[in-house]
Amino acid sequence: MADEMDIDGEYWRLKQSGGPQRHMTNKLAAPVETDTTSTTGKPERKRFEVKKWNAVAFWSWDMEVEQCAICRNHLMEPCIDCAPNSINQPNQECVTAWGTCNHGFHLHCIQRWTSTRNVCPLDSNPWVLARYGR
Amino acid sequence: MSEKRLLKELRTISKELVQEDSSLALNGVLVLEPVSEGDLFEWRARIRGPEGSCYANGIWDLHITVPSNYPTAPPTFRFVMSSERNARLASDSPTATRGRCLRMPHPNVNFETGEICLDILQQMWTPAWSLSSSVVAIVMLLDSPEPLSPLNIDLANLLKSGDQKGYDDLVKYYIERFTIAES
Repeated sequence: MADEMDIDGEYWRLKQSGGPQRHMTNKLAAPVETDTTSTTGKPERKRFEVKKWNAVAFWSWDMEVEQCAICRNHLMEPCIDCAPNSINQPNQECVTAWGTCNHGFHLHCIQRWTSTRNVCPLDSNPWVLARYGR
Repeated sequence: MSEKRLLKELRTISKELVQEDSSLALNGVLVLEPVSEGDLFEWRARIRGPEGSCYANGIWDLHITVPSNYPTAPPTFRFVMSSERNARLASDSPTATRGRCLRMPHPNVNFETGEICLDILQQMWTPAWSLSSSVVAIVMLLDSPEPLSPLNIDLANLLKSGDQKGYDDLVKYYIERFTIAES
């Protein structure tokens, strides 16, 4: 992440000074060269050779809650009322709504609740809708 | 909505009740189930008073009524009371095995009706609460009474005047007096 940002920063600086793409390419290619050649310029036997590479990645949703605290269904699934219909009507709009407090609920669920009392069910502060969608 | 969520809660609750480290088990919730099969809107609960408090030796039953617009509206919890006649029968047989207590001597519980005054079950309710978290909140209320919104004025006044010993002794006396033998 930090490296990317450095490159970005450099890129913009170079672009403004008039010499963009070539400089960036050189910078990225530099480490590869030092790997395969010694400082004297003669080819040298590589100390390490990568024979196999297994990449492992983990992911999770980038949000504070995963379950809708109102209907207890997962936020990436339709709400408890829409769930039985989702097989017949997969295009039906059952989206997630986030408040400015970063708590997420199904839009259907939070609308039903806030018409009773306009507070976030999880922190009891006034509910302010920040965004909604998939 | 309400029926589907209640079904979900029932599944979680029946798993948690047999699990020793669940919040239900740790807080002395012994029973939490629908009164009859096929009706998810009437529940019963049985709780044990919190360890280390003057309620520690008591067992109480609660009756729970779930409104049709649950969880937008809160469920109603009430301690199950019994008539004075039954209560008298109980204290006449002091040798019998201890069962449940027929009165809840507590500043925030009506001594005659079993009605409970707890903000999260009234004006502070949100749908993030559940039947199980509400029952746990009631058990916790026993150990941390709020004498400023009393339903039992006498007990609240004892607390307000700072007489903790008098309060503890009176609560223990009532529990002893109104605990019946289990049939």
